[in-house]
Amino acid sequence: MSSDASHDLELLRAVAAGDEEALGRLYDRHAGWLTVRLSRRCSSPEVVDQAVQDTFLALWRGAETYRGGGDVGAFIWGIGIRRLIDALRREGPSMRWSWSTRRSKSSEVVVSAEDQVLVGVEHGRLAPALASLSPELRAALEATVLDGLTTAEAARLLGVAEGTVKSRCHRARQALRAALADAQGPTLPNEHTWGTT
Amino acid sequence: MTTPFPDQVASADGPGGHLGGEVLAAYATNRLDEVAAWSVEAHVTTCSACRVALRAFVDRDRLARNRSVLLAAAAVGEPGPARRLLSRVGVPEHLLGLLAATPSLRRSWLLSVLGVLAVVAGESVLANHLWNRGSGSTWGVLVPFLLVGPLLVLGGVALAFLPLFDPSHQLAAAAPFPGVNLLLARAVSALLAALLPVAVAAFFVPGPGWLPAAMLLPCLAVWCVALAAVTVVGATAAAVVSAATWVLPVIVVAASHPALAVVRWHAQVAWAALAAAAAVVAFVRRDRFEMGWTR
Ligand SMILES: [Zn+2]
Repeated sequence: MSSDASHDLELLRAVAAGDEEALGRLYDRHAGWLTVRLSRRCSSPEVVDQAVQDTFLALWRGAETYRGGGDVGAFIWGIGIRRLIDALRREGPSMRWSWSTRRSKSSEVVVSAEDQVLVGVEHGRLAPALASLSPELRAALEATVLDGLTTAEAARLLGVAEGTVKSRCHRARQALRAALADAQGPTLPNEHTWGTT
Repeated sequence: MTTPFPDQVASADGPGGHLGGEVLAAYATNRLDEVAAWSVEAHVTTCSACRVALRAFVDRDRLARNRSVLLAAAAVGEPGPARRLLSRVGVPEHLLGLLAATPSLRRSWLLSVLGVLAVVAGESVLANHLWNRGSGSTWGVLVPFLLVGPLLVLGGVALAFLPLFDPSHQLAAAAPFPGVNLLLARAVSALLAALLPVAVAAFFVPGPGWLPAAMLLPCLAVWCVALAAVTVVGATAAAVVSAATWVLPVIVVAASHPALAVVRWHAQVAWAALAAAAAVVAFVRRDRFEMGWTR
């Protein structure tokens, strides 16, 4: 465990014990990335800010306790994304990114080859497989796999029925499996360009 | 979290394997395509260094503002039933958070207001009983109560704003809406928080039936003077000036006239005029508000 990670654990413990200064430090370490990541799932900065504050308040009030095992970042993300879903439910569906507007505007950013390897997707042949999915299927997979949500929670985040999420995930996995199987063999990892849309 | 492709998603965190600033910047500004963003997120979920690095791409004022609101909310504790009701009625949550963080609305301050009023009112009841035998010709026994009422209003306002007492004093600078609105909301809440107990206590002290209503204008006038004064002098000096605006007339009047003359109708006209004049000053100089409070 790195010193950063143990530092996070100490902060979490101090926050749960009512140390206001630790709350400020925990916020300084985690509010930035949480704000960025939640902003990709909600178009309203106010709703995102509310969810971020709710996340740290939940830690402060002991409504969520870290039980060890797993990264503190993943733990905080699990609280944050659920607080965002709660906030979205209060604010109504208009704040969600629709799948057409959510797609990034451009791929103008050129990522260096080194970064591509570091990011990890590219050499795993996952990138082209994911890119081949329709936005709806990818979003369903992202909510359940990357965000770690249950089907019911993913349905609320995406604003669709639970059954729809289930079937989209099922289809997404099938499509991924097929794409990954196609890519087996002598395919070189760098054959794909980063950021094909 | 189960993933159908654990090795690919989780393998990003190699030795020294961190995301470049360019990738982080593109991710933070939503310029990465979804697949690239997916892998960035998979990485930052487990990489503390890249998480901390992302902070640089979020608006600093936004983070500072939310931090203030968070710490204020944490200092206040769980929302009580009154706040939940106001929230349901549609008062914005962040405004409630700021108001709740106003010390003059805290239970300890309200309890001390009630305590002071109980002591002063009890004292005047007792004195009236012992000395005046209930006749109450000049109501001199009411002087302590008269003095205390508007001063409690001032105390609430001062407590709401003096940085010394206020864990959220940096809120004024980082408010999510124009500073004057915020300060005014807090000042009004401080006024009401003291005015209501004072008016109720006025029912219980030995005095004429119109006393509760007669206390309202002096309280309002002293409050307006405080707001006006703080645009001219510092917060502490403003508190002294506005307190003197009330204390001196009460003492001078009590020495030469019946004590209640200071709240009788011609005095009420004077208090109303003072309140109006001070309100005009405060309004005209409203852009100087924050400087006074936060100085
Ligand atoms: Zn990293």
